[in-house]
Amino acid sequence: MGLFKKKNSQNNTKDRELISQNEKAIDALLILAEKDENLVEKLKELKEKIKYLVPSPDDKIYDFDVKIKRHIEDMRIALVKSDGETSKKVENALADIRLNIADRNAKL
Amino acid sequence: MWFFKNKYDKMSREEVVDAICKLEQEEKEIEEGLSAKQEQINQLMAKGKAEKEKDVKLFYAKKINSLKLEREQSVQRAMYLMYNTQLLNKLKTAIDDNQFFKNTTKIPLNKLLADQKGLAKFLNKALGTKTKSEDILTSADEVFKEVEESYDKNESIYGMSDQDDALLAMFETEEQIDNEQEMFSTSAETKTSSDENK
Repeated sequence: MGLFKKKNSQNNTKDRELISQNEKAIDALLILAEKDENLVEKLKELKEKIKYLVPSPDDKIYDFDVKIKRHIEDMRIALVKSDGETSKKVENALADIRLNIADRNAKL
Repeated sequence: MWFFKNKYDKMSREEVVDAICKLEQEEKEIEEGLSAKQEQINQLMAKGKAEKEKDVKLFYAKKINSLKLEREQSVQRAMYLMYNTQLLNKLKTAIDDNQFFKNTTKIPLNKLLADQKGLAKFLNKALGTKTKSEDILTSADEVFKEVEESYDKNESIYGMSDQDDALLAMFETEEQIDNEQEMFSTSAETKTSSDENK
């Protein structure tokens, strides 16, 4: 039983680290988007949601976090391109992240 | 040879994204520089036109040409960066594709599809069930038909008695008389109206 718990917590660590990375990545987006107040608000909201995601040993849940990471990266490229302003790509990435968070929470 | 791992396998999506962002940033800086240089050129052109002294005019001309050369180099750099960004974007898409297909094959149902022997067995079983069910339905339909065909109408309930026949004949005669009367009255009306018109 103790061994099982240890294995679970090890797997949790992997997901916890990814969640933390995603949270930090949102910080970078916040700097890029500082000119757009509306977007900053949305990103802050998103950061809170990511911050309180429950880490899981389940690979399926981890995959959701990987997807979230990718959308954050795509948003970063879009923000660099649009000089920190909301573009269609930024909106799409934002919607995709929200959807992935909702799906992740539903599966948990 | 597992120890000669492809360099691309080690590369993370994050690295590619970082590189794309860096290139995009550089491209944007060059673009800003281009417009600044163009503005500078325009100003020097105006100054050159306004200047009366030949040496100063020559100085402006040389400066303008040097700026134009710098601008041209910057344009080339920007184009190179754009091409580079395009390739890195392709690489990012390839990484996404790779991950996508890896993840899709991981889905339990897709794993099932890989077992083709099992799939054939399942499909044959499904086909058997389908044929069996269809056979049941067609046999049931045949039973319906057989039973319906063997049925004879009860003449005393649904048949026509002498009294019924007489009544039907009476109805028909009455109907015929009504029709004739109607026809007669219509023709009489037409005749009267034509006489009145005359």
